[in-house]
Amino acid sequence: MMHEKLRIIGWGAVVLVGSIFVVLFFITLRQPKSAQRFSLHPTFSTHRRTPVEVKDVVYIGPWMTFDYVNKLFLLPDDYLKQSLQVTNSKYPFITLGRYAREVNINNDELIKNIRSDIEEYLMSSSTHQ
Amino acid sequence: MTTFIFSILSYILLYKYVALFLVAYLAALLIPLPSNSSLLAASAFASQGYLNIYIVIVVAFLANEAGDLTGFFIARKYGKGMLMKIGFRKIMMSEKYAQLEKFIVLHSRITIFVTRFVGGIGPLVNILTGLSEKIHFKRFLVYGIAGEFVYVISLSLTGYFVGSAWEDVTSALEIASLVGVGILILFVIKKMFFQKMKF
Repeated sequence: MMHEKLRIIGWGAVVLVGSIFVVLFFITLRQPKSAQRFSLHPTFSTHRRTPVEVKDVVYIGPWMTFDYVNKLFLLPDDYLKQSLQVTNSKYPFITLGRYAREVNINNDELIKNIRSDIEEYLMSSSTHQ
Repeated sequence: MTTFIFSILSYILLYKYVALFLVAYLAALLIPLPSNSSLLAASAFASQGYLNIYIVIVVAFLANEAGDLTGFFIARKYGKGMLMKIGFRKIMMSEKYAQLEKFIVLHSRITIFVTRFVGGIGPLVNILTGLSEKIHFKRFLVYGIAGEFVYVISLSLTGYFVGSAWEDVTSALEIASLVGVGILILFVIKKMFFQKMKF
């Protein structure tokens, strides 16, 4: 009797957890844009369906790699290398924070420069289009 | 904690699936690493086209399962002897431990399956089931695989489709895990100490 009750409670928990995930899955699948209102880091919502915007540069952080930033903002691979005059051989597979430490630049200063370079690129590419 | 998570995310961006595998594998061995957050974030990266969601799912599943099996086998092969040697003899021989083992043996299927979802308690259950000779390896494998499959699929698809809100999902999961652990502990205490009480 007890065993049966435990079994029912256990499976009830499984069904409950599963249902929550299924509901969450279908809500986000049907309304992908609605999820963005909870956004803490809007860059995470910038999959191919919703292109990045100039304002998203504020979410660039020192934990990101150059490669990730390039792909996220659809930049040419060498764009930041040239604009920032990066000579480090690890580029683009180095985090912004690590690069800043290696070349003795302040984190915030490097990120500020990257933001302005990306803004410039995105504005110029939107003008060309 | 946030800085720590971002360091882990840096490694995922740098070493991609290898880093994801290591985080999930080590977390399954009771090492305190943010496995849930890493999987959610990796899936969010996949939604941006930076990683491949199918590879993320396969890697996370294999890492979790490999971690579970490692924990189980270490506990089965060296667990009892090692614990006896390092001063846990009294606990291992106690009646309470015998009751806990009896409880886990009796409800091994559901315990193994459900604890894959509850952060932090899964690795502990791997060890406890490994310590108990009465739980057959095949049972651990089948219910472990089933649990990990559901866990990895649901979490990675959540990260993939929720994308931007993965941090909120992480917080919600942490709360849910704590509540789950609390309920489980209360349930075990009640079962062990108040067995004669009517349920």
